[in-house]
Amino acid sequence: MKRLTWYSVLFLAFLQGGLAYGQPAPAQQLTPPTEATPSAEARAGGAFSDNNPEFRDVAKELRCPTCTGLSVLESDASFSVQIKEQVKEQMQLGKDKDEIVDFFVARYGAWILREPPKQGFNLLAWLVPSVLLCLGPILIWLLVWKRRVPANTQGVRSGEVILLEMQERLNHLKQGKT
Amino acid sequence: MLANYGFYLMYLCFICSLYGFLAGILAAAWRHRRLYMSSKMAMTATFLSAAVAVGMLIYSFYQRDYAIAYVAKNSSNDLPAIFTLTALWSSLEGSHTLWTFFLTVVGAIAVWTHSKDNEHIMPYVSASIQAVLAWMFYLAITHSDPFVANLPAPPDGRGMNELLQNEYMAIHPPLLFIGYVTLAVPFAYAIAALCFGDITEGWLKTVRRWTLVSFVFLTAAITLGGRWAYVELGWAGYWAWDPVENSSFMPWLMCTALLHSLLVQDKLGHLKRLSIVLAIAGFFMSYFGTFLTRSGVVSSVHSFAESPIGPNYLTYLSGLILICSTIFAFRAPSILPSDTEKVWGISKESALVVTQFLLLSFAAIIFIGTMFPIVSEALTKQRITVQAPYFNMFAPWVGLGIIVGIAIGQLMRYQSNKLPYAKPIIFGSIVFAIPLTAFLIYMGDVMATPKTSSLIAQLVGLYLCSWAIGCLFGDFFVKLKDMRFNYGLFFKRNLAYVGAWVAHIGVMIAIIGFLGNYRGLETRTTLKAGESFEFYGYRFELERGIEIKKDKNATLFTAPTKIYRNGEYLGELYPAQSRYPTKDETFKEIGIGGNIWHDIYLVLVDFDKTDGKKVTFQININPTVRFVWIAIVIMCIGGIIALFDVYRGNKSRDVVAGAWELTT
Repeated sequence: MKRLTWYSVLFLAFLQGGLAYGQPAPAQQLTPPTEATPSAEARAGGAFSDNNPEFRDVAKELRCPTCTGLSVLESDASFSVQIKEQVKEQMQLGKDKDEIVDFFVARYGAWILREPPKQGFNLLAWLVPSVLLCLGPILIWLLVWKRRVPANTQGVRSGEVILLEMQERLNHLKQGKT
Repeated sequence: MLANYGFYLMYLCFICSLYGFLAGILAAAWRHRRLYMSSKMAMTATFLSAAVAVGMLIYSFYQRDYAIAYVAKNSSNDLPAIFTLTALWSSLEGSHTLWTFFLTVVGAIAVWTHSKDNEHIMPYVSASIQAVLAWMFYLAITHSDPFVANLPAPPDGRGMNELLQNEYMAIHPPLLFIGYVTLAVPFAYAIAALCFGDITEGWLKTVRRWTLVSFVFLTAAITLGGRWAYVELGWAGYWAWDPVENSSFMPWLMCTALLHSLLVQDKLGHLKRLSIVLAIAGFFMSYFGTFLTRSGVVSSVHSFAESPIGPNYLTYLSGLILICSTIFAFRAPSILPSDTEKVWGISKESALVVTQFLLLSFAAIIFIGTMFPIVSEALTKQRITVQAPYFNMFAPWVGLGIIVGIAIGQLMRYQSNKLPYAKPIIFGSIVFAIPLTAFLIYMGDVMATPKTSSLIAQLVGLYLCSWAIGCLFGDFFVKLKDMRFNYGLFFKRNLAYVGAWVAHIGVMIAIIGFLGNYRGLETRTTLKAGESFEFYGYRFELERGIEIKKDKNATLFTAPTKIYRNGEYLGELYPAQSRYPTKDETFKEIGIGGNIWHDIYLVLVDFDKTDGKKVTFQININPTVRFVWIAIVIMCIGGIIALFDVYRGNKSRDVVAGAWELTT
């Protein structure tokens, strides 16, 4: 029964979204159509306001389906607003963060999360950069830092080396003379 | 009428650049001087006709000539004059045309102002640039022709994209395009060096200059894009790691890496091949980004085929990569490092290799993050998302490396493991950083961060940045001391160092600014007219409710809000929703106030449509955003200072190119 309710909510949500996209509201002087944003009362009516830290924590992890690069928290697109409402409803049911996230993953797929899940093929997205960042310095250490072309008279040398070499040469000359 | 002329001019450009490309190749093969002159003239002719074509497009925008489809699509009768010009690059065809035009300008400058030493590789340079141009003009006349006629002409156009009617968006694309096209010159020189078989005298001087120009423009353009997002989109941030932003950031990273490898090449004659690879990669990335964003491949693999631009770009990019890697594979072995002795080990050149590693692995991570959804969808049929949390997981580590790398790297010297004055500078900075960090923490209200991990990240970041700033100042002092405080000589001979120093200070300030993202605050509230709301020590008072104003072509629904702090009146912010006559949609205009330590970012989310007396606000406190803007200005200034460096060069390490064989 509960399931059925959710599906109908979802269906209505889609319907509403579809209508909002399909039929732009007629132009009037003082009525800009905000994209199916629920009124302020509806938002304040729930036990969880937009400022609730738990709600924000969950909403931050879900992507806005219609925008690029934003979470539902940062977006006021109609689809995001619906998802935010769903999050609040889930929270009122007493679910914790993981359960709510699982709920959304079951509904929309892993796509709804803002980062790839750390399993299967997607693990690669996490492993490659980590390995790169860890192995790189080791490689540089081995290939560059430990490699030192020894000084000889052809190269450009630092002052100390030149001094040392002059000293050596002087010693050598001294030894040769005596 | 104009539409026809414009199209023919573009066609002429295509023919000219194709001819110039072939002439350049043959001139190079035969070492034929006059054929090269012909190629150069073809480049010039391309530039001139492209200029006329773009001029005609601008003219038709000003004439509101809706007989041209592009004008009808992106302009309307009520568009203000300034946006009538910027409407030129507000959509695909126009921005492609503008980009191509800039490339012709840069190409013409490149072939006419080369250094005398470079004359013998110029046929390759000319051919490379014109090959790219030929392809771009081909695309312009086949798939993105801005001069398509639209007859009979409608009385009014469909209007410019409302989001782009903003002064930042007006200058962001041209700057970005200039940044991109100036990368074409290092690319062309890299190909020329490969074809010629060695780095010739004066190569580095020219490439360094163009790369610096590109660096300055890309830095400015990327930031303006971020600033546009900040003031126009209303999600209280300037960087979302979305594919469009990433694709403009990757060329920047390549360009910056190239600047650092050119430094090693200049001083020691090493890393020549790396410079060449980076020059090619930076150029490639500038097109790759366009491919990503224009082909629609980002949103889904399946939307790829929807636009004809996509497959074309793919062909071009794969052709580019194939040709470049073939040339590289065959010719790179002949480009050898100079026989400079006593390099690597613990020294500045090794530190610069660490820089390369950090910048390139950052680019690799961004590349993986941007491409992964596409690859994953293609391979596993499962759609996934890679957004900000993923990038924010890795970026701080790269940032950490960059801070330490800049601080220590600046103190190091070439070919020597001795760090002069290292102890007093490093330990002095450790002490110096304490009061600076304390000041930043106090003024920025860092300790109020609710999450412990964010707090630690900020404290570590702020301390390390302060320490690095201390090290940078110490190094500057030591360099001056080495010159016996002879300021005239110091600034005359050392502008490259001064520029880099300024830019690095800018990087540090930028990182301090980025750290503010860890402690941003946000709240939503609904106010009735006359009510007020307290947040973060500020009192927001909505006095009268919604007011309707006219601003140019837009109608603004403004909610003037008075801001008080501790009872003191600070001023009024005007968050608004705007409507444009051409579209049935509202756009946000953000009210931004505050001081250097935090922005007050006021978004009008919703309001009572019947009487306008009840307004829902989103209030963000965004710490140290202004640090980022200031830092970017400092970085650009650093780049410009370095541009004025009198390059002395190291002629002994480069090859002198031979004479023309056929001088008929």
